[in-house]
Amino acid sequence: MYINDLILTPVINKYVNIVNWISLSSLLNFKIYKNIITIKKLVIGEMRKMGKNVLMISWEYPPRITGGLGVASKGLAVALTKLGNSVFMLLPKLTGKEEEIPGIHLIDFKKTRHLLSEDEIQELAVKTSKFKYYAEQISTYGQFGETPSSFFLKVSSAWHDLLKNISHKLILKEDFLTGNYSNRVYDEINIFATWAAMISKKLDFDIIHAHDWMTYKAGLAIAKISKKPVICHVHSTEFDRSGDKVNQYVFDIENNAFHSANMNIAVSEFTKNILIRRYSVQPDKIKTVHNGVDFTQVIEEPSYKQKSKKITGISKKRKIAPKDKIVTFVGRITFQKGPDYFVRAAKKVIEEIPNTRFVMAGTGDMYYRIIDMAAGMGMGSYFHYTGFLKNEGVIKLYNISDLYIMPSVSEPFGITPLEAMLHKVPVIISKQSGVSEIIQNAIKVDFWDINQIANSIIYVLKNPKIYKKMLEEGYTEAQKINWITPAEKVNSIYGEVLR
Amino acid sequence: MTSICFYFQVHQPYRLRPYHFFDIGENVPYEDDEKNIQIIKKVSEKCYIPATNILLELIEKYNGKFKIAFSLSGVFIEQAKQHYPLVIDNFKKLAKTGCVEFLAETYYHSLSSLVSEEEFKAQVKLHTKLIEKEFNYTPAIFRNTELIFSNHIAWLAGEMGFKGMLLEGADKILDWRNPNFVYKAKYAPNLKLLLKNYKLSDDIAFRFSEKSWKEYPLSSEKYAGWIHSVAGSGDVVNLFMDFETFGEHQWEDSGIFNFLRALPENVFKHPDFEFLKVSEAIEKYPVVGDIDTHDPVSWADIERDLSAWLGNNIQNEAFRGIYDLQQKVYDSDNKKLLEVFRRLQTSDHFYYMCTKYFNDGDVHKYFNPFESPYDAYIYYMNVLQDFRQKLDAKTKQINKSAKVSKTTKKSTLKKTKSVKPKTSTGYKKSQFTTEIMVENNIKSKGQASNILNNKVEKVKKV
Repeated sequence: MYINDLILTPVINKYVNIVNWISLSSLLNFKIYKNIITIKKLVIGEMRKMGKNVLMISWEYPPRITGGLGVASKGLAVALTKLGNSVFMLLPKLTGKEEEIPGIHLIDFKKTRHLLSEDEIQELAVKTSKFKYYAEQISTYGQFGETPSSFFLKVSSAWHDLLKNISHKLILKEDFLTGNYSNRVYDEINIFATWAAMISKKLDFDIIHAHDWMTYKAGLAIAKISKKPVICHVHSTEFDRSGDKVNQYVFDIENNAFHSANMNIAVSEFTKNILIRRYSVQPDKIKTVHNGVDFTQVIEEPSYKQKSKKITGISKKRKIAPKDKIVTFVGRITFQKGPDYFVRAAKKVIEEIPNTRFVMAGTGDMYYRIIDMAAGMGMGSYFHYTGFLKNEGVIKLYNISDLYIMPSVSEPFGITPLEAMLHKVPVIISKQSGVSEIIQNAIKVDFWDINQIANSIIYVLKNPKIYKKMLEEGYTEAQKINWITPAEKVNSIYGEVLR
Repeated sequence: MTSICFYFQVHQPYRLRPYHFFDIGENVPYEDDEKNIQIIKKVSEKCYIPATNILLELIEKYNGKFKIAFSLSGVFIEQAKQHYPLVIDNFKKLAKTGCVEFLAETYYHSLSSLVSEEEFKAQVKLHTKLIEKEFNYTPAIFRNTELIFSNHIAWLAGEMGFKGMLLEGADKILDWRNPNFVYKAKYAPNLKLLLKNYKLSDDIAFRFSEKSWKEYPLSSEKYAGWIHSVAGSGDVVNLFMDFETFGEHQWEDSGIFNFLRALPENVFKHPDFEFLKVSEAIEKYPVVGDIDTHDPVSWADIERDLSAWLGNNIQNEAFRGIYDLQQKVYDSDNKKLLEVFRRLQTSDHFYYMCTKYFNDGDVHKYFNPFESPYDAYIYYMNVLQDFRQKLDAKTKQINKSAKVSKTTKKSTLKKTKSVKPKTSTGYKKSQFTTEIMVENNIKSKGQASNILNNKVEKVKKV
């Protein structure tokens, strides 16, 4: 008894310290939180209708998005519900500002925290690197001369409590699961996968549908437990994002998933080819389903009024650079999007049409380099940068743009040209994109062919007839693209897989 | 006898606001008034008021023996007058003591000396007028923005009738010589030069509160001792620094004010030392040598060149962008637009775009109101575009009225005619100098100096 006290005192002291350190207030919050949260029906047997219950897993969902992934997964989910399916959407973190749509059940970690058992909480907490840090701190107090086994017996109950508390604190932290792409992303996708598998036990579903590499681990984990088929939806691959310098960790996740999945869906033939060439996936294990566009997001009557006078023949003036023509780039300023080809082409355009302006919307790891590059080529006064734009900002930009360029080096799909077309902006897009497979009224160029890009820009800007034709017919064409057709394709793939 | 010349630079720019792309054409003001007012008030309280009070005390105490020189930028005077008039009152008091000399500079603290003779001369004249009006004092000595000096600029200053000019005592122009003598400019023989003793100046301006410095804490006794060691090996000790050193860069709790208060007493302990105004110093001592540099020299950073303002692509583009508009501004014949044009020339705008040591978080970052040099550039270029559009709109109006006047054949025709010839020559000039500048800074330096050389020779012949 006496000895026990001696040994345990430092342990307990440390324990108290740590509890204080993580802060007691969060403990209190937890209790309150547990009472307040009322989760919507998660176990929905009665909702089973004609359609299937789809367990979708995504990393992004509007309004919190960084690229096209969130928009596409929402668009597809909505269309699938219209075909009579219901969708559980597992996400790392919701903002609370998501649109409520009947038939779509958004589930994130925070919502389901109170459904987890003690063991599950601990299992999750152990996945974080912080846990190891705390645990190591405590375990150093275990070295007080006794044999490990006798020591462990004495402290095991205290140890257990300790772990329990740490686990609770950790999972309550805001940054436990953020859904960001920070340096913790590897940690997070593991936590996410473990959590998704736990939650899936409480859900009734027929098929698993995982979007992009962040969720493939989760998809496979659920499939393992539930024995349900899993589909990997490929919006982009590591080769699109990084060129030939792939991140091996990400590649391995993708490679494993593509081969383990019951079926893969690629957003374009372009992407399907990458899967075949780079990942050696059997062609019959890949279906191509091109993305759609959600037309309801676009302002109903896109206006000519701010376009340059000469091109559209309408005299209402634009406030920004009224005499010039505005050529726009929208997207992350990263290797994948080919911003440097945009800048190089601009140089040639300016030589031919000096009153051209180039606007780049977006940020990324090449942002400063691109700014410096354009300045170094003497085009400082011709270039403007908006930084990252929210949706309204992008629409505002489309409305003043005369031409839209997407010089992507590797673009699995590329939704922005369609948005631009819906705002009556003619588009020039790279052949290395999925979207180029489905639209006709666009000029298609090789991203590396700066002369071709420049000549196309000059050609369109100098030919009002061509310009008007591209604008009108592009608008009509883009309007016809929706999410229903892709959803029907996906639905029949479900049928095939479930057969 | 050895003389000490104190000179303090006082300047506050009109900082720009984060001017977004969509602000273009929407009549959004360029400057961040709120921030500018807040800063002028803060610096007045921390520095200008207490420091000028101490100087007034000292001048009274030593009965005319303690002398100093000031250069106040025009944009500083404007802002102080409007938002903290007490500061200007104190400077007026200083002016009345007769122990204070005011120096000439460009009104807008601009880099115009590098590219546009027209702008440069106009801004210096504006500044002189302002100093005459506010302090009843006519400057005879010139100091260029950030002590930027080159043969060409010296020649310009000489041509404008200045008797002397201040510059950095940079090693690269002095070589084996020391800065503690009076020099003259090689291509402007009547222009005498005082060179900053950067070691002693920076001991106060940069190192005073640096705890890792081996001399920390610096007492005025110790410092006076360093000055005294010049005895016998120099005529003048030139201590040039930002006035904001006192209370703003070096905070009050570092003891900077007590240091300043006690310094004259300790200097006077040596009977052979005195304080002089710069114009007195250049009269008193003989010229010992020539200063000859085609490459501009400044007092900034370790490089002592222009790289703090014109050292990378974005700075050069922004700089070219603003001076490309000069002709349009002159054509517009509009005072408001001219004022905007000149405020946009203030060197600080380009300083904020400096990418040197961007990652180290040093002095450049301390002064930068924006998150990064690239932001500073993006906003500046957006402002420039808006300004360009305003100019275009104005030019259109003028053209219209010109057309009207042609049809009516009335006296208005004269007016438009008289505008044109004046401008066409000016345009060529500015373009020429821009080219020189750009080459001088980015490309081969030897070539550029040759061009400058030729230019100086040409001008001489004329």
